[in-house]
Amino acid sequence: MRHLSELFQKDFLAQLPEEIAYRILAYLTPCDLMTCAGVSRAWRRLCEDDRTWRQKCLERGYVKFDAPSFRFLGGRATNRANKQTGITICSHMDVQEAQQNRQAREIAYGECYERSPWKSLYLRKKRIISNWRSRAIQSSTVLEDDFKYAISLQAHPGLIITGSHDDKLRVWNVEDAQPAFTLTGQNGQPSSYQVSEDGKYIVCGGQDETVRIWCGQTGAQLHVLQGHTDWITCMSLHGTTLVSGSLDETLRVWDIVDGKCLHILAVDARNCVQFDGERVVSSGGDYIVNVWNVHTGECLHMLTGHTDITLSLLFESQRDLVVSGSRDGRIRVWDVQRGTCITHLDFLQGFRFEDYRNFRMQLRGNTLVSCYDSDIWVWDIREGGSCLHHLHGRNGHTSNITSLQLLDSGLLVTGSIDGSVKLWDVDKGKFVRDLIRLQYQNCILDLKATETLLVCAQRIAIVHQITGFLLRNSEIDFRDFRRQQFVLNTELIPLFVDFDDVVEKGNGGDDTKTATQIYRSMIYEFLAVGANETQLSTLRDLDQVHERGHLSVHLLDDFLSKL
Amino acid sequence: MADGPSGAKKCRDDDVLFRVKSKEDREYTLSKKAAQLSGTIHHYSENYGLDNDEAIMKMEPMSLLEVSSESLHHIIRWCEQHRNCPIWEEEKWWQNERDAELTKWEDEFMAEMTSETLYNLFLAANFLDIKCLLDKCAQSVADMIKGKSVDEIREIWMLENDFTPEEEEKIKNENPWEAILRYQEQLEKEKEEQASQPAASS
Repeated sequence: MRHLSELFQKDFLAQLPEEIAYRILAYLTPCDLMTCAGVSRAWRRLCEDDRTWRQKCLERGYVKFDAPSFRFLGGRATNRANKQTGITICSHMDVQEAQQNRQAREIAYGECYERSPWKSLYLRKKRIISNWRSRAIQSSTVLEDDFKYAISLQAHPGLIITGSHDDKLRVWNVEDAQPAFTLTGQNGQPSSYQVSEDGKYIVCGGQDETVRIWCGQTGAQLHVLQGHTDWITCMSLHGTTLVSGSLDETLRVWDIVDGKCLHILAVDARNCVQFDGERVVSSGGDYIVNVWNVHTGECLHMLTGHTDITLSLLFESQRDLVVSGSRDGRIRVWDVQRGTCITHLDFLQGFRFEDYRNFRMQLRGNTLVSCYDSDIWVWDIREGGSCLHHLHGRNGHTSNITSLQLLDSGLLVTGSIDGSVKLWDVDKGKFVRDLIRLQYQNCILDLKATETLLVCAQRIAIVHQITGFLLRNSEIDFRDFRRQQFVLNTELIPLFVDFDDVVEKGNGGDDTKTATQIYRSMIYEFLAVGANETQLSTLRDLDQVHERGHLSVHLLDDFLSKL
Repeated sequence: MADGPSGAKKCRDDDVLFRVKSKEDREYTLSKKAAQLSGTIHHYSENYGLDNDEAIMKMEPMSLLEVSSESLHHIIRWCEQHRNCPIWEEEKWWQNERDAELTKWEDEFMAEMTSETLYNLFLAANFLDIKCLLDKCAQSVADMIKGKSVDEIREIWMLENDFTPEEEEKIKNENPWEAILRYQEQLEKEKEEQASQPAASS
């Protein structure tokens, strides 16, 4: 390129016909386009052409254009997560820094919006990705509530929903981090809840055998769908049609606008159900994944191959793909058009499946991410399937992973019982950074992420209750408790590991085992510290419940509060 | 196929030759296949019934009043070299594949151009509607811009800074964006360099 590097006598961009100029610009990276926009007026006009930036956005799949939020101006600044609350957000800006940053962003956005929306969209998307990957975190909030535990979460742009053991759902405004309303009416624990795509409806089903529909804007209860005769264990919402699976071995299809039951299928779909508006993919107590047409009730396919129950189902309707993860240690990818198994992936490789609750998976394009225990696998589901990456080791989690979320940008967020939230690059198979670390052996119970928001639920309440109990309700910092405990009996430290297994989304009976473990450890603690007469009588009651096998974490907690 | 840019592929004697005339009224010939690369010539031949060899042999030279002799010379060289290539997909230019030898020829071809010839070639390619040449020219110019700072670009292209101080201030406000993008690209590079070290596995 010897001759070309001479000085140019002509301004190629400004003097050549415009369509040629755009052809040149198409070959430039966004970064170069940014530079060129600062060269001259003529260049800026060309470099901020919306067609060019639109092309850049589409190449990378950036389509949705949402305006910058004003979340930061709300409650987040005053109620931010910090060390006092036992939460360490890795590389958090201080308030002043964050405000300056915010101002700088507003200036930049404002100018850009007027001139080239697609350019500002591109920059915003890039910015958000780099916020996840490397930049200091600007704002965070602890949602302060008198609810005892946030047992599960649902994040929707603008809304966060937390569920608790006292049978209520709380809806939060993302903008100001304040509770918007409480959803009441539910008896018994909610086991599954969803927000409709447009945010208009909140649907919840649980132990009280009903499905309740609330308005997503006001929290008013719209319908109570009755019909199931046992616990509702899983639901899937598509548009305004809901499919619910229950222990009563029926699958019901509801219209949530009218509140009517459309169809009843005699299907055992207690484990998982997925719905695309037409077909339902379900699995129950047997080892078969069934595909049904909800309108005719016809069984389209019975997908056989698993040798144990299905733990998780993913359904991608457009590609006719179903992914099922089973307790037999195998993930299968099915073509539901033909009813054949395309791929199977072994994620346990000879190990025994010990706790099925520790299995999670998500699919994005051809990349499937699954986790079991503290390990994460990244799979390519094409051509027989292959394991692309195994994420573990030095930077990995040290305890069970409770939740994972795959983002469009190829980032994976995982939360674990070890109290950390980690970020991974799925495409490269690498650890990116720690996002959150909890102190005092608190654990991340659940985690949900949208492209712009990460919501975590941490479990601390039980720990604090037992702290209070052991120290006879005196208010002592937990670190003191640990010291105390160290004096009492070093062998009791694994108590918290047992706690950590309480991770399930309120699946009722699943808690019994854990509660028993807690109970046993507690008795030993108790004997070491000694007890008065009232406490002993409460303990006897507790023991009776335990004998009958009705012990749940919820119940245990009630007893603990009496002690 | 070993022809370098200087000894470009000549049309074979038995080829049916298409006759064209430059701005300076000089006549050139090119093979039928090569001529079809140009959208303008393609349309011309459709309109004037030049769809068979006999008609082409009898044709009057097609006047290309916008194209200088020099540009036309380069364009014919390009077209003869590319006459057997698959149709250029304009909409998805990044999907077009060229073998290494042809790419090398193209690069050498572009390296011969001075900025003045390139400019004229650009206009000629646009007039004659030769997509693959247009894209190659665009790519060469883009390569000249890539990775340069504003000042470097102004120097090379001899451009005046016609922004008012206030406008420049506003552009500076946007500069953090640029810094982020650069930082990200750098980060990507660093990460690729580290790819040899297995970081995620113990």
